[in-house]
Amino acid sequence: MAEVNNKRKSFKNNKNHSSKHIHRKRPPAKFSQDENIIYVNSKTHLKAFVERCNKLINKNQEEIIIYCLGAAISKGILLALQVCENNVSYKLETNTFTSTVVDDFEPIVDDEDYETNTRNKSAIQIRLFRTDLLQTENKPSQS
Amino acid sequence: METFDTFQTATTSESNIDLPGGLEISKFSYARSKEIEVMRKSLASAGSSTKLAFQKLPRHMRRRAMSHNPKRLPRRLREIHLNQMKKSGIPPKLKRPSRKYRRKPRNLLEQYTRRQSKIKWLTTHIWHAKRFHMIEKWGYKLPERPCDKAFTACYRATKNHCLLQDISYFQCVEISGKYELIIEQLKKITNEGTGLSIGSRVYAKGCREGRTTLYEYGSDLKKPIGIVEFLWRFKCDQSDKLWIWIHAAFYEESFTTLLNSFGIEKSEKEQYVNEATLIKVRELRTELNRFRLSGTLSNSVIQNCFKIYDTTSFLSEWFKEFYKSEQEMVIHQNNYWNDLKSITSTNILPPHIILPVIVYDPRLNAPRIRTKSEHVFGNNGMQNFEVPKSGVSPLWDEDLRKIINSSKVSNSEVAKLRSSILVPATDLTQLGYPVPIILIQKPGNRVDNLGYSSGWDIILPSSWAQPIWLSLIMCGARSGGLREFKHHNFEIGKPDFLYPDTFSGKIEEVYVTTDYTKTYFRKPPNKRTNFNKFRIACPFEFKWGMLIENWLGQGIDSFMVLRKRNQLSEIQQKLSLREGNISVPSNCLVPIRVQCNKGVPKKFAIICVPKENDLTNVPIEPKSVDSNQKKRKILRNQHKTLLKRLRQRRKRDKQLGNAIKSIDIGNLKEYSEQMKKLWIPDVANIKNSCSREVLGFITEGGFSFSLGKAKGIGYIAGAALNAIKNLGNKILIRNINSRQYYIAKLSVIVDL
Repeated sequence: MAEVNNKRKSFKNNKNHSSKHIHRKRPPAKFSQDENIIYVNSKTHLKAFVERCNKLINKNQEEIIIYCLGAAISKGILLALQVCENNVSYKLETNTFTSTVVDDFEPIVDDEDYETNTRNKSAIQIRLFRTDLLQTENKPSQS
Repeated sequence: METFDTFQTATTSESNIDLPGGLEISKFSYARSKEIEVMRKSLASAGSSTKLAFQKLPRHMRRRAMSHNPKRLPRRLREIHLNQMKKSGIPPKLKRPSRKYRRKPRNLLEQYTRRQSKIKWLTTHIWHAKRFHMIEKWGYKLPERPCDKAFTACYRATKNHCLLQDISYFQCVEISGKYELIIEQLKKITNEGTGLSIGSRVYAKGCREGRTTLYEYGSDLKKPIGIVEFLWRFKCDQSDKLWIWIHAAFYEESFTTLLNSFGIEKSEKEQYVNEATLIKVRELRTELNRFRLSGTLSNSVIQNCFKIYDTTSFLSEWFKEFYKSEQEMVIHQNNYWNDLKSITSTNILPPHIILPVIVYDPRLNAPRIRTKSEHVFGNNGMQNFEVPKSGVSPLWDEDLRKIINSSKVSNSEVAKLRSSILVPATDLTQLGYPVPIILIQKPGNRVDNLGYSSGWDIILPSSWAQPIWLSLIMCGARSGGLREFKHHNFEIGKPDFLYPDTFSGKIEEVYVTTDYTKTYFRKPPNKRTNFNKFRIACPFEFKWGMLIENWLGQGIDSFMVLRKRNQLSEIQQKLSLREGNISVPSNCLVPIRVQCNKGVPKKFAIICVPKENDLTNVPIEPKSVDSNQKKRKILRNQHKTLLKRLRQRRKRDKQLGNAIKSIDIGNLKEYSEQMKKLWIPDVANIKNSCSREVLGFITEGGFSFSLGKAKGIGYIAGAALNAIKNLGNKILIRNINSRQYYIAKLSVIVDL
């Protein structure tokens, strides 16, 4: 483990242009591919995500789960708040957790070997669920 | 004559018979003598007439299609007729055998082997031929695209589901011998500067697959052949083995190069041996096949398709022995396979890993109808997978391979077995034979859109290819052809497999050029794009050599694609930072990618240097006059009058009964050549052919689904890089059928 840490430090200064390795990322793992699950990324426009949520809400979806990772967290929060603002009957519930992502260090010179580096990234899961507006007292049972 | 006529009329009119009083003998005999002359002539010519036997028959005995079917002739003429037909070179046609006869398995197989003698077939050819448009390419009959017009569906399969391709046109060559010796010899034909070499530490254990570029032997690494993939079986003795997978387009070339580098002469042998170094080279085309699965579902498809062979069942002899010797490794591989059951997608695995497994005959547990494989979500905690410890597989062993290939039970026997069981759909796997396969992880896109199209490559014994293919399809994989292979390369932003500086790439370019030119000239003149008016110098051709010469201002012998990663990334960095002089070899091409917000780059589109203000006001190529238009008109009129004159001459000859001269085809061809030259004239300068300087061409362009934007892949002349160094990646592109330029963002393709 110490070796990996040292590697990480040396790469920190010169992240992408090491003379011996190429730094490549593996995609983060997904939890489910269901229709009502949205993975927020930083590339897609926020509006597109809002549209997707609206579509799900129009379909009378009971709950929408939004996952976001790292830099996309703020975007995900913005998305959840916007959706709740537009649809009063939806409430939100948030969980924070840590997700591990793996980086590969691909060698460019013959003597080196592949190396990996695991990083922990902060992640957030936002659950948007429909409530009955008349019975605000009783929280719906959580799944 | 007159008297005779009057005589006849007299006889016919019975009512009033009025015989002439006398005969004028001179007149009468003159008329008769003429008739006799005609009769004698026809008698004399009867023997040596030019007519065929059946043509001599009187009209009432003639039958339809007589020459085709001699049985319609009277028997006495049949023999004469057949002899005459033989002389004219038309063989008498035999009756087509009945469908029942033709469809007998034995006769079908005979036909198939006959048809395969000229051109190679994939093992799954018959399956594909029923569902795909097949084309002839690289000595193979290959599936081009599915008949069900599933272009977008195939893309979606690579993204969310699973696309299956038979890539057995990548052929395997086995090199066995001492590890160090093999590497030493291969150094002559591979370039270590372009990335990891074959002898790299990473590949030595046989746990990962690598790729490298082969160069022609003795060309001093100047003439590239193409990219090959390789894997090792390292045992640290005389029998280290290396498999090199070579694309069919440059297989012959690579194979001779390999033989040359090992100092082996080519002969008609199964195995080539160098007596001094004891290095053996062997072709495994008929023994191994390769399938490619790409897409997130590919892992669950193979998990559903294959079942690990039970190590306690010893149905087959060879497995018993193999298991005895390699017990530890087999158990390790099986455990690894079981760990794979819980992963979502292959893209979270270490890249390029090799996992050999031994599985049951997949026919026995394949679903009866096509079923979808489901996503698996579990085990997200265990992200960091190890690399499998060993690449040991029975497939590496020559003798075992033979046994395995011959151990395939025929489909009919499997069906019999199925029908004999009481409860339908019982799992029959226990009765199946073991099939070893080798799985190779493909990491997919690693630059942007991480992990797109990652999946497995499967190496399998070729006689098992057809049942395995069918079960993979039954487990929910969608099949794709060559078009999908190409489009996949485009989506992950890599240039086509056949590079323009290789021989195979040049052949491919010529093929494309002739194809496009043919379609162009098939159109009527008023439907053809007038490229002269658009100032497109060479609309259907990539004239890389001329382009580089134009930028250099001097002649060059050959050009090369820049492949060195550090050079490419340096260029990219300098371009984006707008700094420094870029120094590259003068005769090189730089692979690039363009992205446009507006406009879609198409094949053959030109990449241009923007002038000042071009980036704020997108320019339009000014209208230009086609200087050839008048010339074409004159030529056309000349040709028309010529044709008219010839026609009149023919008509006159016909009237006068003279022999008609045949049309001078050479003349007509010359005209069409001249006309083609006037439509697409030869050029001497591409760089300054239009108002903006031309940097390069787009080789593949279109809308990229994964990017959600228009994208193009192409090459620019290395000598032209300094012209755009201060522009911050912005360049202009223009399609060949338009005057409109578009702004595009240029980036260098670093990972080839």
